[in-house]
Amino acid sequence: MSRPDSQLERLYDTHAAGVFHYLHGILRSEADAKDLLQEFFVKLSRLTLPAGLENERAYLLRIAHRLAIDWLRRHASREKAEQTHPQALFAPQDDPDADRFARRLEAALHELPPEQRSIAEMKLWHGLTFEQIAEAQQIPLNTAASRYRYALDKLRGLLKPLYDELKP
Amino acid sequence: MKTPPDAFEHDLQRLALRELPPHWRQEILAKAQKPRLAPPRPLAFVLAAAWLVILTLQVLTPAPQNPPQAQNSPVFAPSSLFAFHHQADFLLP
Repeated sequence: MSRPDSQLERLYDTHAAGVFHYLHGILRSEADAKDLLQEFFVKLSRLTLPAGLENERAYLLRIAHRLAIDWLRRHASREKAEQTHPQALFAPQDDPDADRFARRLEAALHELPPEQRSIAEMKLWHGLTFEQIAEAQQIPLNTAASRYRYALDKLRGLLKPLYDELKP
Repeated sequence: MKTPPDAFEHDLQRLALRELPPHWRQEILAKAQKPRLAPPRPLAFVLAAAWLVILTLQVLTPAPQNPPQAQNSPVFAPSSLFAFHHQADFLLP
């Protein structure tokens, strides 16, 4: 059964950017992430969302994560060859210092292993709990928490000079 | 499990994610909402399997050489025979 158009549009308006950035973080290719975002919405158009979802974003990221893993399996040989530049993850900032920090953070995120980066993104910018992350990625709760800590420590280390400089 | 973010985490969280190019919306939703002409994949498999079984049975079942013959010639009811003869007498000179 197809979902009514307005529902799909609402899902796009609410979640597309977040899902795209999440996919981009895993695939590291904007073109692939866009293709997979298309696939994601085709899949959504055939799904009925469960009633009473506690966190819609968590549910959708779980679907996106599975699609991304399947994609990586299908394109395993190509994935290694593509090491793209850091993506523009964040919106342009009005304050030049904040913008500088955002660009530096994008570069720092690019240095993280994908499994740490995806968890950092889920936690920091999608607001998921460790339980939701663990469920979405089908990993133990402790693994999700420890990967997040590793990611955060690494980001802290990489960004410390600029962070200290910009902090009043 | 929800731990309160420290100042560094809080500063990271404040950064808003970049929006997608506006023209993607129309493009992606149009493709996602395109009606599907083909049946869903499981149904297509079932139909294909059914046709395969029908074709296999068709090939493997030998066709009858001669149509079964009646053991006896047809027996007409006396009333039919009477009517036939009556009509013949009437028609023939």
